[in-house]
Amino acid sequence: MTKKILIIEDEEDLRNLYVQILQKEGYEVDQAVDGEEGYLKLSKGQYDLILLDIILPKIDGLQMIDKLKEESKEITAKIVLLTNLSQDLVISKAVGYGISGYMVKSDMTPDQIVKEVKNILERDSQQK
Amino acid sequence: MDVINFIILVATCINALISITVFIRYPKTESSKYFLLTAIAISFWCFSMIFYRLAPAESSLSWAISLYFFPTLTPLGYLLFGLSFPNEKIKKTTLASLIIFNSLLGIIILIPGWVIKDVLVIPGQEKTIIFGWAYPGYVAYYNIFFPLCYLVYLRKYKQLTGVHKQQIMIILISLLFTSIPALFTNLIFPTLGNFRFNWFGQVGTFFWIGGVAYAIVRHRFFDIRLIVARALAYLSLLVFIGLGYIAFLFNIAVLINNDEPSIETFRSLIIPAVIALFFAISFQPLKKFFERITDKIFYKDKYDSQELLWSLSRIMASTLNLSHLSQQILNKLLNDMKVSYGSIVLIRNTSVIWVGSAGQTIGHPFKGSEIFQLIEKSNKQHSKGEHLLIYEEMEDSSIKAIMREHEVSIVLPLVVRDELIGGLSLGQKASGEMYSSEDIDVLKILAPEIAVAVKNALSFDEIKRFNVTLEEEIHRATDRLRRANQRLKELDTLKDEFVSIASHELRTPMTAIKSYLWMAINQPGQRIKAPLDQYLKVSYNSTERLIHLVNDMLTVSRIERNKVELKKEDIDVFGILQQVYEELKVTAEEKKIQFTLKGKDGAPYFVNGDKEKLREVFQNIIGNALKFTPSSGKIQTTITKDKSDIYIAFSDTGPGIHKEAMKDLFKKFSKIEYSYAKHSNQPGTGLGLYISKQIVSLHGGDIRVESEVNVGTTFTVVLPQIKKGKEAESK
Repeated sequence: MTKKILIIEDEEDLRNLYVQILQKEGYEVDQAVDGEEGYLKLSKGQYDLILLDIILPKIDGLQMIDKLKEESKEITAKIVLLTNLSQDLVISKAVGYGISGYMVKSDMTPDQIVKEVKNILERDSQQK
Repeated sequence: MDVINFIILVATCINALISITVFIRYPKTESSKYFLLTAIAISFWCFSMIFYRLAPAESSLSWAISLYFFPTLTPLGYLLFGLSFPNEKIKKTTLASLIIFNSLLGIIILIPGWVIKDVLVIPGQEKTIIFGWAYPGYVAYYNIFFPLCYLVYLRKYKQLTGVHKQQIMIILISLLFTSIPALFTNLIFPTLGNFRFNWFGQVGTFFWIGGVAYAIVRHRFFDIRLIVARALAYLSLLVFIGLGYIAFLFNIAVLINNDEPSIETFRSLIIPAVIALFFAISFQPLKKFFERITDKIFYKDKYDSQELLWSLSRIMASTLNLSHLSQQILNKLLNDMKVSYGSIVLIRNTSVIWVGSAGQTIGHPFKGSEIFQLIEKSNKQHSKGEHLLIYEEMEDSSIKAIMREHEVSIVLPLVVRDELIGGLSLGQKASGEMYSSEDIDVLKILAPEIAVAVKNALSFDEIKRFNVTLEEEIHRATDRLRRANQRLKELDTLKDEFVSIASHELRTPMTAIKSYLWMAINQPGQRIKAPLDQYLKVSYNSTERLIHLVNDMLTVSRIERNKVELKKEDIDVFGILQQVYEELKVTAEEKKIQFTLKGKDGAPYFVNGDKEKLREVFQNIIGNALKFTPSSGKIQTTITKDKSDIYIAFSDTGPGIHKEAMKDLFKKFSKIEYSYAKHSNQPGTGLGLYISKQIVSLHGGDIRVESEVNVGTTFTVVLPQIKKGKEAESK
């Protein structure tokens, strides 16, 4: 079964790149340009993995996690923070929320991102 | 009244005067009390002698008894004075026994018939006393007590020093000269029936008086020199007036009566002479009394210059407040001299800096320049060698015109140590009179004193004002600093925010560049032609470097804001090193560098630290070593430990670091690293060592460096070991 991935990223060039490389790997990729759209898609669709940027228009990544927690939504998807904010505090906060992992965008090459995504999804399926 | 009686009278009076003066003026010390006793006893003794010699037959006996009673007090007085001089306490038992003994003696004398039986009056001769059975004892008393006094005085003379030694010597000598003849003429001769000289003892008290007076005048005996000197002057004046008057009357009487001068003529003159003396004595107090009354009635400007000087001295000593001082000085002057207006003006260089005035002026208000002219002129005025301006004594001039206009009568310069600091100007007297020479004298005495006092007050005032100014200045400066500091803090926060935002904003496009470049380079199944592949690789590396730099800058900014939080846990440093070695092994192999890590595998090298941060540090140091060590070189890392610390030494065979460069090695954008970076094909950011050092410091450790040019460099990271390591090992 094809894994479904949602990319929530406001930066168009990066978003396109991630969509491109992940589709090439055979994933079904959906995208959202801001927090609000991301939240709506997240609520409707069944995703296996969400790549979530932190700094986003309308609702930012951390706010979105707060919201999901408050509403106690049943989220089957793994959430991975994809950000350029490397501040330990922000990240440790996010990890505290039950996030599967984080990637610092600028430190990763596209193949490393693909590799990381694969790892997380495989870990997921092993656990299942 | 014969000559002998007159002389004795004078002796009596002077003795009485001395005792009264000492009694009034000198503090009541024990010795002064005994001195008083002695002087009084002598006075009464002399006094008794006068009356004994004058008395008719029927009252002679009682006077004789009194004549023999009072002298018993003198040896007692002398002895006690000698014992207590200058400031000693006499033992109570000694004092009591002496007094009891003397009282008994006094009582014995007062009992009729015991010491003195009767007095025989033979006209034309000195009276003869018939002594009782106790008389030899009476004589013995003196012959024991006086020598005792001499001994006591001699002992005192040996003990004492300085002025007291001199005083006691003079007193002893005068006592010897008085008492020894008296012992003969007044005691021994009468015992043998010779009464011809029994008045000599009293006359001999002049030795005593003279000695005491000398001690007072020359050796500050009882500190009453001034009073005695004045009293003597006054007494001489009285004697002079009295004698002169008597001589004058006597001659007139002789002329008028054309008589031979006789005792009768002399006697008749006694009463007018005494009256004349009385007038002479009462002249001064009466004059003062009437002057005071007339002063009050006629507003006559009469004052006691001594009193004025004295109270002004007190005023000047009492305050350092310039306004109070000048106000009080002027008020006192104006009030005493009855002057309408006065002012004290202070100048500095050519300008008036302070004016204090009192009283009412009718003149026009002063111009500063005019005051200055007056003061300066007053200091230059040399007529009669005096430095002051007196309106009435001046010739017409512009200065006089100024004084006239402002109704200033006198100007005195205030000079301190040859420096003209101001002037004292006084208006006209209320009475319209001129200033008297006494006024001028008083003012001349006062001017320098006022100058000093005012100058002191001015200095004090200025220091006070300077303090206030200084305080304000400090306050303002502190305020400025506080604001500047606040502003700096704001700027610092802004800078941090800027760096944080900028780094984020920079990283987004850089991530895009990096990622797309990567995509371009790594197109599957397509080989990019040279030299385009090279261009792309350079671009990619530069982007990496840029991202690295931004990351480092962010780290530095956070280190400096103390915002780095270590996620501390107990970790095995050797394990981390092994990981780093694995990562960098490829690079080392590419450069054919001998790359070794020495340490006991599995040995406890435990520290409490942040794994990621320490990994960064090791990566950085080994990365540097790889960068600078030429091909076929050697890089060796050795981990050791002692009781408290773990030492990780990274040695390379690189070019080494010059001594001058060492001190800047761990600074931001360190020049050495920066310049090396330029030569290196893998340039760094210049922040690596700085960050590493800060991180190690946060762990409570240190980085040391040893280097020899052309041989190599050893960086040693020292980290505190933890005890927990053993527990971890046992697990």
